[in-house]
Amino acid sequence: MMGQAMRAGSPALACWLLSLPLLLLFWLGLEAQGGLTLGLKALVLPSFEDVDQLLLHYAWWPRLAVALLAGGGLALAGVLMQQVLRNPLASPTTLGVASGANLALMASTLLAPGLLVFGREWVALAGGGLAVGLVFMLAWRRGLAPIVVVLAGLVVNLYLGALATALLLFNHESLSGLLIWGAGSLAQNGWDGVATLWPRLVIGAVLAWFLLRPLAVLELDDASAKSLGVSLKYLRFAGMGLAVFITASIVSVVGIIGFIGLAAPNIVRIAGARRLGERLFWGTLLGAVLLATTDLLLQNVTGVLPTLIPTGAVTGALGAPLLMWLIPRLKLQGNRAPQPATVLANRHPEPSRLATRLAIGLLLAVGLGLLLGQGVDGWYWLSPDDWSVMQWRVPRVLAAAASGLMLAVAGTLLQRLSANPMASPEVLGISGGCAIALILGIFLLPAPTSGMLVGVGTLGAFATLLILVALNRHSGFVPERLLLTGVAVSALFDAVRSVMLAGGDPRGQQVIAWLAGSTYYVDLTSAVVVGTLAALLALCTLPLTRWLDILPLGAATTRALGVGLNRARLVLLLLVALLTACATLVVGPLSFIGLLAPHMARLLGLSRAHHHLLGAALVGMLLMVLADWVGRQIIFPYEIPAGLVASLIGGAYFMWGLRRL
Amino acid sequence: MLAIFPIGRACPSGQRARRLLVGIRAVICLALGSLSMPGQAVVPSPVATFDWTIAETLLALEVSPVAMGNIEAFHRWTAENYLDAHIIDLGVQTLPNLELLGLLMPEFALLPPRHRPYRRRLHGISNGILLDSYPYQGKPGDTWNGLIAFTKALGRIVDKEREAKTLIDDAEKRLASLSGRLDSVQPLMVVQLLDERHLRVYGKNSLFQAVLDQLDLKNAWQEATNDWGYAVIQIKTLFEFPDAMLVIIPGAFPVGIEDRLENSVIWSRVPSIEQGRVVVLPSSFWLAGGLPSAMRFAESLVDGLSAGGVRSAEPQTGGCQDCEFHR
Repeated sequence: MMGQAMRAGSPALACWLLSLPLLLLFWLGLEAQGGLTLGLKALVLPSFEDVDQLLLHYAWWPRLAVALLAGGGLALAGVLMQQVLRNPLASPTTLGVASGANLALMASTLLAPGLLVFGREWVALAGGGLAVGLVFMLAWRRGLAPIVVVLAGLVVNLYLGALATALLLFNHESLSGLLIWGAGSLAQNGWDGVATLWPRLVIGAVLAWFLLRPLAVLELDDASAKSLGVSLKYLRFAGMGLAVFITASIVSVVGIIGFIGLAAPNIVRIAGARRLGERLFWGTLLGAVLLATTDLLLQNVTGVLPTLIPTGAVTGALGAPLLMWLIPRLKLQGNRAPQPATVLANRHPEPSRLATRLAIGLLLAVGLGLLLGQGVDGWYWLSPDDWSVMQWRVPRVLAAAASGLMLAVAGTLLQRLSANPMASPEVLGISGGCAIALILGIFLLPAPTSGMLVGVGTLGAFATLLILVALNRHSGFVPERLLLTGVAVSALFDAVRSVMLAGGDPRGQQVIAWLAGSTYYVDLTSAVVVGTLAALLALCTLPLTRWLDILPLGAATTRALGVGLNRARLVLLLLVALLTACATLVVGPLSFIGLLAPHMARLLGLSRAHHHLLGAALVGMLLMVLADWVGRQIIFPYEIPAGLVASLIGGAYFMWGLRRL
Repeated sequence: MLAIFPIGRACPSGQRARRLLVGIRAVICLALGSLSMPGQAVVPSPVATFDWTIAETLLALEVSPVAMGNIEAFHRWTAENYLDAHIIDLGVQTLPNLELLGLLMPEFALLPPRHRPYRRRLHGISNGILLDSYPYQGKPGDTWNGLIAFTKALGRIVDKEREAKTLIDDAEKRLASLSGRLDSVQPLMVVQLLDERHLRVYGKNSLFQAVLDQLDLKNAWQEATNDWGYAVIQIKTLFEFPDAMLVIIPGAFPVGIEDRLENSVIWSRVPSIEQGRVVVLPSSFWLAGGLPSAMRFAESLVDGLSAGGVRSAEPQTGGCQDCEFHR
């Protein structure tokens, strides 16, 4: 039915069809609470002596109104961002608004609770604003070029997410209220949320209307747009600023709601809304319908469950299959303007000397990780033959190095394979798939042993790989589609994680510790196994460097040079999946090294494939070993997981490098 | 040191801020070349544990564990009763510092079932003993009897069987006398606010259920709960229990929630609130604690109920000095 609507090319029809379930659920919801007439009476002329009417007036109706407003607003922001960044993957959560707001709330809960009394919305708004300000600052020198903005957003997102995880790890109980907010619960206690939201959304919509014509120019490429006398930088700033304002308002009221901002604009685009005005109008309507439908559905279902399932998490979970369905139908390149060349750095004159220096750095870091530590009486140097302490440190240093190596190599392969600087194993979703399987294993198996969990995790990684291959086989593994599949899996992972945390299950804390990427759980045997695997897999990439030199030149060139494109892509992908699965099992899915190490190697000036691989591998190992040591020592005896520290150290360097570009 | 965070001092989060400061101090120590942290005196003791419930019960049996996970939070949940005990902090409970434990070499490490994976890794440092009678394992059953069995088992392990028996007998006697002080038999709802729209409600498998059973009090919440005995519900669910007496446990209050609740029509119309049937308890017990926590909960609950509800039973120790939940 929906397919026909799409072919008919009518976004109106698509919206109408998709809102039929909403009407049905609306009617069902009111029937369950005393009928349609009572419901309407409770809305307009409530009599508060009757508890049913009280609840309808102050809980049910405001919730519906907030769902419609938030859904519409997020979709509106999504359309704006996709237009400004010329990227169908851009969405309100991409630029760090949500994670900034989240971190601000957590930090103020812990360090300055007084601020929250002053107003939670303002804290969230300030956090979101600061995060986006950081993104803009990083991308300003490059004239807010779309690719740089998205990349900066991704890094800021990961960085703030890592900080939030660190806070959560140490203060799980105190932050339990925020976990519900973070998962996006739409439950309301009155009309306050609606009252806060609607004026801001009206302002946002009016401003969007004013920006309609100038923004349409962004469909041209940069040079043509400039020749029309438009200041791209300020136009982008205005468009993004507006989108951020809308998103931050919504996030501060209802929390983080995934996916609506990504899905709604893409659905109306597929349904035939081509011009910006159409997309804004229908996208907004559809976003409202989608979120309200999900929320009503959820209210009908969750009455029977012992845990709370927040709507924001569910939109993420439902959105993932939707996005997978959309992927083959998206025109990714289509009539989009050609992009300027991506991030490049100068080539280093003597790559081998640089590599030697990195290797020496790595050795020093290993020495530090093994020998310097703290005991009951403070710092001390360990003698290398003291096995009673060494037995704890050797596996961790080894595992850190191995996972750094694997993630760095996987990231390098992906980035060269897709010619996309945003590519990384985390982004491809293999880590996420592995993590979903592990979380489900921990929660559903009666007595999970570590052996069982390893099996479950590997299964998850391979299931994700199968999905990736099945969805992309026909298109011949076009990199952008592949990444989109990854985004979908990651969204599903976020949803699973949010539901787990919001439900407040005690096992959640253990899962957070693992998700944060610690080498803590590795013993000597598994460290040796992982180390050997890492070395073997890394060696496997060496014969493939010719492909890696050629693939970034584009599909046509690659074929012309006689490389079987599909076969090369499939082999490299398999290798990436294996590397990622192994590394994820050790340090969790959020380590960030797969994105950073290849970039840092690039920034250092290593651009030929084999230099790039070697450099990335060394940087990855160095980073992870250092991160592991710092994490073990900095607030001894408390431990910060290596993955987190790596994100924090590496992320800071990365932002600095990005700013310099 | 705390003066750096003047806001933090008034509230429990100051202690969390301090943890950050410890990290900063470590860096400064390293930078200045003075490679020593303020050392703690090591009092040799044969037992270590990462779990608060075990630690609390051990302390009540007059055994001080040599090392334990996350001590600051432990003191917060135990009304600072054990501040004098010389216990070495092993770090956050989910990631206890095994290297440090290895240096201390305690004879026994007492592990709840969820720490089963540590047992093999402790081999060679310490004799890892798994406590199968641990009360919170997500199995349906009588939590009170679970607590008793757990206390006895712990007493056997640390060779304090007589003390364990005394602890149990005293608890049961005290509960019986507390029970005599109560005359109202309204069903109770033990809740903990998460934000202004959601709360946790405690039921089966929880410490509170066990105590209510002993005091012959009825719990209004009979629905399903998770491993630690609670479910997360929305405020509007409270309307389904118009006769209940609300028992509010502070603990993890989000700050600023009082104002929001004051302004919320729904909250003020919750039957229990409207009719003033509310007790606010101080945060002096761990939510999944042992007998000592159970007793502190029982004492403050009975104090609160016999004071006629409404007001907090004691001055708050947490960040909620002026909560006013009544109208």
